[in-house]
Amino acid sequence: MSKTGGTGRRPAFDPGRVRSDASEPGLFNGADRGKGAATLTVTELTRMVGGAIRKALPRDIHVVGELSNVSVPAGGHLYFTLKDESSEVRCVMWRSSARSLRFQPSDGLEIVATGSVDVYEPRGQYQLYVRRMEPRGTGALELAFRQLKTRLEQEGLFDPKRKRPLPRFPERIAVVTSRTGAALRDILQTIERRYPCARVLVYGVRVQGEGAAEEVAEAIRRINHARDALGGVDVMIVGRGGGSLEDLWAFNEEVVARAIHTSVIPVVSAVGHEVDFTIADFVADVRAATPTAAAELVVPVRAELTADIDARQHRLTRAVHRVLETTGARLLLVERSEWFRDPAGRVRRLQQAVDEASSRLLLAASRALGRRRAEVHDLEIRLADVRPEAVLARRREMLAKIEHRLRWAQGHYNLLAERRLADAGARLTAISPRHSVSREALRLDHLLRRLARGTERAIGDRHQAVASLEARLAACGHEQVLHRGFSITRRSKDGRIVRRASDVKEGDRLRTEMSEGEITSRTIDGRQGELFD
Amino acid sequence: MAKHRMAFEKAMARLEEIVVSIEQGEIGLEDSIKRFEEGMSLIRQCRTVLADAEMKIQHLQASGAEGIESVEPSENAGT
Repeated sequence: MSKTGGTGRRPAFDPGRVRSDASEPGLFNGADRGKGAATLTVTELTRMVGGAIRKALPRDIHVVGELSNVSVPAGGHLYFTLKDESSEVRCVMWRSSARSLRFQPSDGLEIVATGSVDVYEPRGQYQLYVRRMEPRGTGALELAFRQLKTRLEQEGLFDPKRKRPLPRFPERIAVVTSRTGAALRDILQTIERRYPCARVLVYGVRVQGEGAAEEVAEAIRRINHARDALGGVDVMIVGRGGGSLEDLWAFNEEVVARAIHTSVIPVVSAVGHEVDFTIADFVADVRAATPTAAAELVVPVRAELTADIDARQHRLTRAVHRVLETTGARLLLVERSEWFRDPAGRVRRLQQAVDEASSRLLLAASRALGRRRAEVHDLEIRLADVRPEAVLARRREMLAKIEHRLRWAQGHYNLLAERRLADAGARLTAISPRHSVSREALRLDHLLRRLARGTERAIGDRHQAVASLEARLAACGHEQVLHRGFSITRRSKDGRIVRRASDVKEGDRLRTEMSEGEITSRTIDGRQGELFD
Repeated sequence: MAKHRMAFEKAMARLEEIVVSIEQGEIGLEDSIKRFEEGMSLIRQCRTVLADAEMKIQHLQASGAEGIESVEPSENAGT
């Protein structure tokens, strides 16, 4: 490893070739002249070499080589080896210098390192102490950009799946940019033109120069932190106008990328003009080519919204009218349906069916009941016949009949006996003498009575005959006729009864005898055969 | 204020839903009319939001550890 350490070998660096007289006298004389005036310790030797190097070499040496064995221990100092095809040299870059590196030194990278050479005494090893480092070929910024982009991409910060949609109707829009830049003016004008109902929160930051990236990142973090206090922030525009790569550099810094990545509020990046892409653009939810484009992406056009609302209102009105129409038509249909025209009809028909069914049911039931009742009745009768009381009653009745006949027979017998007794009595009386005397007296009496009655009847009969003749006689006399209304008219001169009209002349006097009294009259006219025919 | 914004987003979404539901005619008359009224009220709401014409700009300043101090009122810096 050590190219300078070996004794007996020619050191790689020959102080003798350096055009300086030995400022530290007696340092090399021993080695060069072959006879040891003084024996050196290793430390002494190393110091001598270091001194010679410092003397011999200029303070700024530029070395081209490829990086290898790059390591950054916790202290922050950067250690690496610089090599080419046939050689290599150990290098150190102290933390103070390494910190300002914009790109990431990594193995294989070809660089130009600027620094000075010295010896690292503990190892007796010369080293290049690098103060600046530039990538070879491309610029440091470009390299830094590429490196950061690759790293963040691998970390997933640019993942399209992480991109959030922007709110369609933002009410509060935060803008992180320079307060004096054209970018802010463009954004405000665009929003005002398209969607003046929005509110814009402007957070002024420096957008270039030392510390600009930190300010931008801090602004993003603070707005996120205070978003509730601000009344809610819907979207954020972070950006600046165009410029050189150096001018835009703040938006390529990792702090800004991290701040955008952790933002809860969707971020629209708007850096530079169309062609400039920054790391911020890759991390942001939406990349806008310019600040104006960012504002256009963020807010809708109010006029279009108003038209949209008009259209919706129109659709709504039309739709509800259609509903009303179709509902009305359906209602009409229902109204015209049989149900509404004759609501009772269906009920009636159903009623009829029910009635029919119920009467059939009743009939069936009553028939069945009737049959059962008849059967029961039959059974009842049969049961009654064999019931003890019935049997007893029948027996009793028979007994009564027998008793009655018995009684009757006994009565009859008694009657006959009595009658026979009376008969015998009467026959006995008939043959007694006292009886015949009284019978003769009775007969005499009887005869007497018959005689008296016969005489009486004979006298009566004669009276009756006289009265009858008298009556018949009376009926034949003219008085009887007069009495019935007839009269007898006689001529006054001779007393002859006038029987015909011709018996009388005009002027003859007539005397008319009546039942009671008489009238005298004179004849005025007489017509024969007409009046008294 | 955030409610206000949400109201607009939601109002538009709800409005679309209402219009579509009535257009498809899958809801009854009473519901249709109820939704129609709701829709008209949402339209009024949206129009009111949009009619709020004057853009307001608020300048923010970093302050303290906690957050942001807002500087109001703000003249329209952009124009």
